[in-house]
Order: sequence, then structure tokens, then C-alpha cells
Amino acid sequence: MHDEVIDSLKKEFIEKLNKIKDNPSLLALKGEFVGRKRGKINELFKQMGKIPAEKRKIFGQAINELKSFFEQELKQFERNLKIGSLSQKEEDWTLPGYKIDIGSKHLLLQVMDEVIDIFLKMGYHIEDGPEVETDYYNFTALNIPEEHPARDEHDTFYIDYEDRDNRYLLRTHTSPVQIRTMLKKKPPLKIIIPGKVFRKDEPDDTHSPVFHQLEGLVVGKKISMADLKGTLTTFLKALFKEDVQVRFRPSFFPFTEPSAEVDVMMNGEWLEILGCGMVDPAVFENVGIDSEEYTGFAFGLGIDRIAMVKYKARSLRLFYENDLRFLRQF
Amino acid sequence: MKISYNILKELIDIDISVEELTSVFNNAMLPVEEMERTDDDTIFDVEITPNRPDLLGHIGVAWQLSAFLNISPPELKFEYETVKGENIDDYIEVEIKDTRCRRYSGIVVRDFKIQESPEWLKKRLESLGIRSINNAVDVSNYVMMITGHPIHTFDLNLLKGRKIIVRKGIKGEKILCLDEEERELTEDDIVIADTEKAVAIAGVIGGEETGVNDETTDIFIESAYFIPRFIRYTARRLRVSTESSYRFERGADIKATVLAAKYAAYLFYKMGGKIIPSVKDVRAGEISDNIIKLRFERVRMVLGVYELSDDKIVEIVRRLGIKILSSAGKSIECLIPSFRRDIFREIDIIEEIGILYGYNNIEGTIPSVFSGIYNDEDRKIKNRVENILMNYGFSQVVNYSFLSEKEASVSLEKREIIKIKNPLSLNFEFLRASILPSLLKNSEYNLNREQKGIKIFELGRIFYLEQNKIREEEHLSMLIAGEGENRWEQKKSDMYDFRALKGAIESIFQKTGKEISLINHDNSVFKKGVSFEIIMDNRKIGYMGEIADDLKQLYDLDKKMFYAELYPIEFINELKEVKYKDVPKYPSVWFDLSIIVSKENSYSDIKKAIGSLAIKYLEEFYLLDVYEGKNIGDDNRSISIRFIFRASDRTLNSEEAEESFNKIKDELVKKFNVKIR
Repeated sequence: MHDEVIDSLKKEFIEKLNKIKDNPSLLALKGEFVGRKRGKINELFKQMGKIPAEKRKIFGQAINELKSFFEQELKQFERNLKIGSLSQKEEDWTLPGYKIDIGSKHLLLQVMDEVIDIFLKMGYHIEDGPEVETDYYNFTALNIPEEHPARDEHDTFYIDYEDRDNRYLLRTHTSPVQIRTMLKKKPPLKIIIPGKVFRKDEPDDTHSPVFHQLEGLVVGKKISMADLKGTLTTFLKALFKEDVQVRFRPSFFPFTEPSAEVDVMMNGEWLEILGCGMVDPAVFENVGIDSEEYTGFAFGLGIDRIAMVKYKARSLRLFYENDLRFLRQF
Repeated sequence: MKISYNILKELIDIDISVEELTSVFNNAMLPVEEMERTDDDTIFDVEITPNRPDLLGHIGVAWQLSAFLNISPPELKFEYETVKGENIDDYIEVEIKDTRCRRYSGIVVRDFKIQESPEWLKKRLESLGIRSINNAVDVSNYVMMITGHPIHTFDLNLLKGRKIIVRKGIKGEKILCLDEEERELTEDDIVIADTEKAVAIAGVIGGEETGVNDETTDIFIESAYFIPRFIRYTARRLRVSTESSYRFERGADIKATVLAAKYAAYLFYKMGGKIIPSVKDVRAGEISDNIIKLRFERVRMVLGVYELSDDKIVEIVRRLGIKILSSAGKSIECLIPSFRRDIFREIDIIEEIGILYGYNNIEGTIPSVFSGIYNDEDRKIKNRVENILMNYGFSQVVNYSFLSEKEASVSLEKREIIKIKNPLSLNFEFLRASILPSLLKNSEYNLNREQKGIKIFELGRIFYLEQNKIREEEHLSMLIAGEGENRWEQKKSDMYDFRALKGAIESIFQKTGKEISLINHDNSVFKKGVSFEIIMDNRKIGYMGEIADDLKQLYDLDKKMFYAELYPIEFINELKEVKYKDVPKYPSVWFDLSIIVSKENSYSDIKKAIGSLAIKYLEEFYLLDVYEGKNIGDDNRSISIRFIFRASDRTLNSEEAEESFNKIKDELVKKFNVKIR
């Protein structure tokens, strides 16, 4: 008799389970059969007392087996329900995620940050200075006197304002901050100067009257050209890739001697990436550092140029048009 | 500067492939910008730096290459015969009255026929990018391209008084130049004159009236040396730059004047001219020797190449044409050749040693300098502020610092704007005194290009004059315009309105525990009534408002626009401190309150009123929703606020909280006559 009870219950369960189409009816079925309070299994357990003692054990085992059968089936069914087509009617899991409009940092300043971070890791300090500079800091103190032909290479915007001591201009490089720092602080120095600079160039694909530069300066005892090479090679490997090819070409800058230009190999072509050299003794003299005791190196790189090379940007103009369709891609 | 491989081959014993030569050029201070192969020659277009005038002629380039390749230095081999029994003194007299001319050499050529140049000369000049004029002019140009020394040719018979006088210009004196322009001279210029008037502006340009012409038969070749800065001064003052002035202002070789004159004489001789014997050579002052002491250890230290031996240094130095006068164990005395004007200090020789040793042969090292750990806090805070704005959907822009006068005059505060003396155009004539016009420009640009909504910010500098001082400040500006994409799922943070902008600003200060408040303040750039000063701790930290219509018209903008400009200097330090409150131990009780209140009472009035009550257990309250609609009356607004109550030492029961809550309700009813919904 008890076997019949168990069999019919099992049959009833399977029939009902096969009719289940959604989660709520599954939950109801669960309650009906294995629910703690009024579940049919529990009802059976409650009848145990009425059963003769010798059969109680076998009946108990049978109920337990039935219970675990129900639980197994329910679990399996639930699992199928979750991944099956049934559940899709409730939620379309293929809908896109909620969109939040996150803005972008300007590409040039992203590249600037990347470069700054590399140098900060190498122990450099950041220095800053004015964008409207005096003729003295921008040129004269850097060994570019008025009559020096090197001035021709810096097409300078002059400010229509002068005072007793100074002529003013928009800085053509961040080098004046090197002078300001050397006047203010004693060696050893290990600094970088990121910033906006200005040259009187008509804007086109490779020129811009406003661009961004990062310069570095190291002053200490026995600083050498080899140190300059090692530093810049390490930097370029960090910025591009470990096996980037780098070459140093002799060049001229009034504020460094010896001077060099550095090229990296990109897509089978040498691209000029930065200028550098050993600080010219004349510059040290202008800031009162003894060039016999101290030597140093300096370098400067164009952030715009690096961004162009790194992202294969077709024109410098993209950086200053501020077209959101461009800016937001980075 | 164009360099012919064929000419180089005539000067030095060089025979390497064009590819190899290109690489040598690049490593020897002669970066190749372009290379062109002609039928029988290869032309290198090389960039010459301003410190190396010696490389502005083929001999100098050949010198550089021979030193670099360690082969014999160049030699210019030529010979000519002179007319017997004649003497140059019978033809011309030279007097230097202005000692800024340090040397003046010259040769007289007679019975020369001005005509087309021979083919070889025309071809050579053409490949060097110089147009052939006639044989006399071509000789001048060719001599300059070979020796690097500019010469000038006069028609001897047109020089009055048969005399050359090098003197200062006379104020007001005029000269008709070879380019057919008349120029006025001053006492600062060096002038070549005959006994009557100026015949050339020294080192810059010759005079038309005494120049070689089709009828010329007798020629006087001038080959001189002038102190560079005076040539530069005159060339700049007169705004004229010639091949001659370009070289003289960088510095010619004072010892090359005679050689250049003779080489010119040789070319004239080859083309049938008769050379009158002996060279005129007048000097003003002695030519001093350039002697520099070079320390071996210093060479090794500066280059960082400690395996470079004394012997190797001496060998390299000799290759440069430098004579070693004496050797004192640790150093040597070097006599520098006169054409190397760039070498006048020990460091200049060290550079040359570095180049010849090969920059690419120097083994890189890392400097041992350590100057402490850098405190990167300011930059990090700025980055954090930028990140907050980007999370609010703002994209960063970077603009030029200059604008037109009309645009630059747009500013939140009255500023005296700064003018650029030599702007690119009138559109870029003044420095900006606010970031506002830049962002308006960006908005116009983007709204015209398929963008419906704009959220942009810029962290950049502005400039103005104050009490005769140039001021430069960093400002942080944000602009919101237009609308979002109107997605149904749009969240409040995706809105494009005043409160979106305000929320972004508030969130900058969220972690500092500081509150910002807005105070009404009329400003011409903003709409009346929607114009505020932003205040924090009783300090003005910027402005915010809705852009005024007339300003929008300036940019052809019609959408609603909201703008804020903050002064980071006023608050950057506040952002360094995070204010932290302990996490509560006991649970809170909260009640929501919806009230209908007259529009005359602002949220800030309500906030103040509640704040002044000192309600027991009230921890905080915040806005849940604002609603306006016909059903509550046009003059009213419905506001929902959530109040959080909590006791710090025990679990608060709801009766206690309700008692406090009722006090708030009563006060609001009493004070603002609100209706509770």
C-alpha cells in the first residue's frame, strides 16, 4: 500500500513537472512537493508514526529516495529553464548594456602623461614655468644672443608690451624653465618640463603655431654623453617597444655641446623623435654653475610628433580642431 | 646646401657607394634631406647647422668627410699665368677705414669677354641648383660653392678714382643694388665705396652701377672678411638675405680670402681673361692664432668613454686639421685651423672627437644622480579632477592660446588683454583672458558636425595685464550645450543642463566634505538671473551660468549653453585632504517627504530653514525628486526629500525619529506654507 502511495506521487510529480513553462510555476511545484511546511514529502513523513515499527525503516528510506529524486529533477529542470528558450521570454539577454557617456582625455595629454610617467619612474622631478617668457630666459641665457643666426630657426611671437627690463614673447621651447630651475636650485638636478610652446608657423599637416614639448635636464658630477644615450634609449624602449631601433646623429643646438638628434626606426623608416646634448658650459656660466665641477645633459621631444608617430595620425591639425568624433576615440 | 659627389671626388680620394656615403653624411653632421641622381652625378641636399659655415662649400664638406673617414684632407689644385711687367698697384688702390672689415683681398682681370659660360660650368651650377647668368656671375657663384667664401666682381673701369675704400655708411646715403632696389644706409653699415660713392653693401649685396655688365672687359675681384655680427645686423635691418650675407653672418674663413680670389682668377684665366700679377691684400689688425688646451681626462669624462686612449685622442684631433703645438702629458695645446670658426673652447674639440669616434659607438649608461623622490601630488589631483569630469561625460579639448580681438575680449572678469606684435593673422592677434571663447568655438565647430550635445572641458592658461604686469593663470573650464542622444534609458547623469554641470562641479569636491554654493552675480557673458559666482569657504573659486544670447550670436549658436570657469589655484589644496567620517554602528531610520511649495522659495531656502532647526538625530537629508506640472499649479513646485535619522550610541526607534521628522514638517508648513502630499 505504501509503495503505491510513493509510485502515484512520483507519477503525479512527473506529469506536473512536464507541464511547467516558467519560473513561478516551478517554484509552486517545488512548494507542493518538497516544501518544508506543506510539501507532500513532509506530509508523508508526518504519517510515519502510524506505520508499524518493522516497516517504518523501509518506508522512511523510500520517502528519502523520493525526496532526493524530486530535488534532483527540480534542480535539473531549473537549470534547463535558465539557459533554455523558456527564460528568453522573460529577458532578452542580447540587449546591449546600459550606456554611460564617458568623456576622453585629449590624446596629446594622454601621450604627455605616458611620457611623464616613464620619467617619474626614473626619478625625475617636474618643473613648470610661464608661457609668456622674457627674451632673456628664452634666448640669451640659453646662449642664443640677439645676433645669433640660430634665432632665425625659432619663429617667435613677440608680445606687444615691454617694460624697463624685458622684452616679452611666447616661449618657443620649455628650455627657459631649465634656466629658471638652475637659478633657483642647486645641483644635483634631474628634472622634466612638460608644457605648451609656440612658434610662428602656419598650421598645416606637420606644423602648428601651438604645440607641446617635454624637456629634461640632468646636472651632476661626471654626467656624460654615455649617460645621455643610456637614458634616452631606456626611455624610447619604454615608450615604443623593447626592441625599438634607435640612432644618434650629431647636430647643433646653441645650448648644448656636443649635440645630437635621435631617430627611431618605425615601419622601415628613420623618424626624428628628439634633440639632445650635453649642457653647454656657456649656459652653466649664465646660471652660476661651475662647469668644471658639474656637467649635465638636456633633451627635448615634441609630444605632438610622438602622438602622430604612435597613432599614425594623418595631420597635426587633428589635435587642435577638437572634433569630438576624433577626440572620443582615445 | 647641395653637394655634388663628382666635385667631392675631385677634392678627396673617396670612392664608396651612394648608400654608404649617405650614412657617412648623416653621422658626420651633414644630415641628408634629399638625394638626387643625375646622369653622371649624385646630388645630396644637406642641412647645414648655423654653427658650421665651413660646410657651406665643397672644400669644407670634403674636409669633414676626410676627417670622418680618416683619409687625406682635400686639396684645391690649380695654376694660372699672370701678365708680365704689370702690377695691380697701377690699377687699383684699397684702403680699409672701417676695421669691422678685417681683411680685403682682390685681383684684377683684364680683357675678359662677358658671354655665356662653358657647358661644364653651366651644368655644374645647374646641378647645384644655381641658374647660369653669364660667365662672370657664374664664376662668383661657383667659387662660393667650392670654397664656401663669397666673392664679388666689379667692373674695374666703373670704379671712380680707381680706389676701393671700406668705410662706415653715411647717414642718408643711398645705393642702387644689384636687385634693382635702392637702399638707404646708416653709420652702422659697412660700405664698400669708390672715391665718389658706395658701390656695395659689404658682405650683403653689390651695387648695380659698378657691377659687371655685358660691356665689361676689366674686372676687379673682391674677396674680403667682415666681422659676422655686423653683416647680420645690416642684412636684418635691410631685410635682405643673400647667399653672401648668409655665409658672412655665420662667419667666413679670414685666411681663405686670397685662395678664393685666386681660384676665381684661375677660372677667369681658363675662360680667356688676363690676370694682373700679385694679389691685393690689405688687413686691419693681426690675425691671431686660435690655440686651445685639451685635457685627455676631460674628453673621456664628458663623452663617458673611458677606454678612449690618449693616443687615439691625438690621432682623431690630427684628422681634424688641428696642429698639436705641445704635449704636457695629461693635455695638449691645439692650433685650430682658421676655417673652423665653431671651435673656440675645449668642449668644441671634445664634440668633434665624439663625432669622429661615432655617437653610435658610445655605450649607454644610466646617470647616478638621485635628487630625492618627487611629490607628484598636484598632478595627481589634477588628473583626478579630469577623471571625475570624464566620468560625467566631459571630453578634454586643447586650444590655441590666441584669438581675434573680439573673441579675446570675452572674459568673465574685466581684463586688459595682451596683444601679439607679429600674429599669424588678425584671428590670432590677442592672448585669451578666459577659456570661454575657446570652448564656444569648439561648440560651434562640433554642433555643425553632427554632434547633438557638447560636454567639453579645458585645463589651460589665460593671460592679462594688471598694473603693468603680465599675469598668467591656469583655469579649468567646462561647457555643456545641446542635448543628449535622447535615449529612453537616459539617466540623470546623462543630462545636458544646468544641474548636470553643477553636479560635475560638486563631485569634484565630494570627498573633501566641502560644499560649494552659488551666489547670484550679474555677468555680461551670462543670461541675467542664470549667472553666479561659485563660492567655497567664503572664497570665490569661479563663475557659472547660462551663456547670454548676444554672445551665442557671435558664434552662430542657438542651443542652450551652460558654462563654468574655475580657478584651481583657489581650491587645489583643499582637494588634497579627504575628510572621513566613521562608518555608523547602528541602523538608521528614514522618512520621505513630498511637499508642494511656491516657486518663490528655493531649495536652498528650505535647506537653510531645516539646517537652522538643529533637529535631533537628523544625520542628513537629500533631494529625491523635483516635479513641476499643471496639476499642482504653475506657481508651485513639488519637492521630495529623504531624511535620515540615526543615534550614534544605540538603535533609534521609529517613534523618536518620527518626532524629529514631524518637527521638520511643522516648520516647513509654518515657514513656507507648504502642502504635504
